[in-house]
Amino acid sequence: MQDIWFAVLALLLGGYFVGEGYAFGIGILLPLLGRDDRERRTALASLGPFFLGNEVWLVGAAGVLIGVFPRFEGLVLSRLYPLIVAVLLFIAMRDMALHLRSRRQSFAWRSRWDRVFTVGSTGLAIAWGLIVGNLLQGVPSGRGDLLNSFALLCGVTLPALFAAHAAAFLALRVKRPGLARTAVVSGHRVCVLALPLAALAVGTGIATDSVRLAAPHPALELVLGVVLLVAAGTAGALLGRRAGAAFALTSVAALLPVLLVGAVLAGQMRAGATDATTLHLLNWAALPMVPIILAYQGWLWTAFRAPVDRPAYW
Amino acid sequence: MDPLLLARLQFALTTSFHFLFVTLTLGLALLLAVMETRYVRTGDETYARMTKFWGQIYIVNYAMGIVTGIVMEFQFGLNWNGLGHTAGNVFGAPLAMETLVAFFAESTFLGMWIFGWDRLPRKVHLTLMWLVTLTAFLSAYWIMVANGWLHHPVGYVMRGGEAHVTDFAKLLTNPFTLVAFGHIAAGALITAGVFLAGISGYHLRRKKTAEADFFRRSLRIGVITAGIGLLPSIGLGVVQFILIRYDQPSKDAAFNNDPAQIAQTQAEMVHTYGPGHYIPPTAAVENSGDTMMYIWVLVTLVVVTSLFMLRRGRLFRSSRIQRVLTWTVPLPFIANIAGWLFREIGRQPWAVYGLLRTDQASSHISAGWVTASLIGFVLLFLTLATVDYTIIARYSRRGPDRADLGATESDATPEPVIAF
Repeated sequence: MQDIWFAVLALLLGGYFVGEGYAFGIGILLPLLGRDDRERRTALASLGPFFLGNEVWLVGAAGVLIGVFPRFEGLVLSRLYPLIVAVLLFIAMRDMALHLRSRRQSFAWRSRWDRVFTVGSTGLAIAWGLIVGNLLQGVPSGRGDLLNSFALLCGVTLPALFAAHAAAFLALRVKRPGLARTAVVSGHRVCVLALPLAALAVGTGIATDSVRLAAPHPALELVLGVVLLVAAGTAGALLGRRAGAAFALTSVAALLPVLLVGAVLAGQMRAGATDATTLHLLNWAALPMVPIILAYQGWLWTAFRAPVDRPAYW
Repeated sequence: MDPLLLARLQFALTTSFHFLFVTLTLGLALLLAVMETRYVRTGDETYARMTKFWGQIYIVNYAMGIVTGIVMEFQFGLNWNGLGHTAGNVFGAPLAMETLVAFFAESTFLGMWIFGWDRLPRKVHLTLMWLVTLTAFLSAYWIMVANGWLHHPVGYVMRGGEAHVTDFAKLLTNPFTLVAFGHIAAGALITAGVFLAGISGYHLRRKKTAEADFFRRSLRIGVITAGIGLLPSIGLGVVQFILIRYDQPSKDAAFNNDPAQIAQTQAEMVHTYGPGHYIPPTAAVENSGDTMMYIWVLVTLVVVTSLFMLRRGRLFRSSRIQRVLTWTVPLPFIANIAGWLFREIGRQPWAVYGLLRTDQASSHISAGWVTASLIGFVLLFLTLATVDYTIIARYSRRGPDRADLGATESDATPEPVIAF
């Protein structure tokens, strides 16, 4: 029965990486987006209600971790201490920047918060990259170096992937010709950076002992890594012509780091799971919520699927 | 410094920041749902404008509640993994329920509510606000299930050094959960009610205001809401003192600060739990408890006077009581924090009363990292909270015409000006 919760956790973290991935990416690309404030706000309006609806996937994942895998949660969070703290600080910066930036008409106010938004989003993407890079080598020992070379490589690859993801999202969601074109152009540039980085990360992973030894079924992990590369590469090629397909592919690329980490850590997570009574309880009380969550998130998506052409609130 | 103390300080400060924002969120959500219901029922545009004006303030306030809440949720694993190790089977479940049953829905629906003005049918939009309100209270309830268990562990058995659930219904109906939840809900009504009344009073005092009708209605809703909260607040507070007397004798002793009672409780607890110091810091417990109660008396005087003056509309004409109401706005916030500190400091030295001491719950992170993260969180929260309150004050001062919520944007909307 833990396996189903394992799948729920993968779903929640995967949803977080796919949904917040483009929010991080918009933050990273923001200095390039928008010739004036109206265009920039249109780019932010593409996030619209999804911003609040996406971040909760992380909160849900943390809830499942603490409820279903409490000992694993305590172990992994305390071993990743500085990186988790960084994630939390960047979340606070970035969220408040988005909430506050359009609350005053002043140009200086808005550009200041835009910078905070970019720093926070970039920092978040890097921190998650470092976390993924470390977890692909197993749960850190607590003595070792969290800034090892493979982790650092993941720390620059993930922001580049998220930026490409955001470019595809904007190309799909924005109906303002100038802005959509800027998104495609910056998306292509980002792909030139993201693809070699991702390839280098996969290659380094194969060549690094700590990564190879941590992988319980190396063939599977290798296939997942290759799928990530192919998805990102094809997305880059489709970006200008078929935005929907490109976005679907960058979503796959954003999801794969979560699946990879899950494949590596599955065994350890089982050992840190809660007891049978509580598991039974949560199966009965919390598991039925998962389809309900998917239903209202689906409603959110259909209700707000229309492309945006003007600022809204953010 | 002692890393345990630093981690406790970090949790206390994060929780205090969080509580500062979420009590207003809870109370305001309900009031927004009521205002919007009146709008949908009567079609009266003033209620739509009220929903947007107070809703704008609500959203800016809500944002800080989220970011502090996320930090809190992760701190359990970061600084307190001993809690997960010993009590994770019990303590984790309500937190999982909170996120999956309540908060997930609350945040998704709030996003739709913010962006759904003029886009979703009125009744759907109204339903969203009621769902946000319902899930906000549900969220508070589940958090109090987890917190109530820390204060008064029930429905579990210890096996092999780990707590295991035996009776989940006992967790759900723990008096330390239910009574505290009611007490907090009442506090949230007082906080939001006084907030509405105080800001409305500020506007009505300026005779020129073109929004007299708007703020009279808000003022009336505010004082009535606060009035509704007063009795449950004190009543459920008193019930908690009775619960504490029986189930948390060390908190009771510290609050009464009576040397004989303290000595006797300490001796009894040494007898039960072995050698150690079991009395929480008396000054902190006594002062925070007293602060909460003195503020209740003050706020009650102001609100009851206002309620009497509501008859024949004297409340709307007296600028003196309106000024007093404005100055009362911070008091419920202070009382909320004081009450929280009283509850939590009074539980020390326990993380789970009688079961797990705070030092046993600690993750044993090096002092350097805990200090660094403490400084980081405190500086960031202080800055962000200050800016957030500045923006709330600004929206409050500028009145209903300047809210951004539900405003339609077009290419004719002016660009921002270059100003510093």
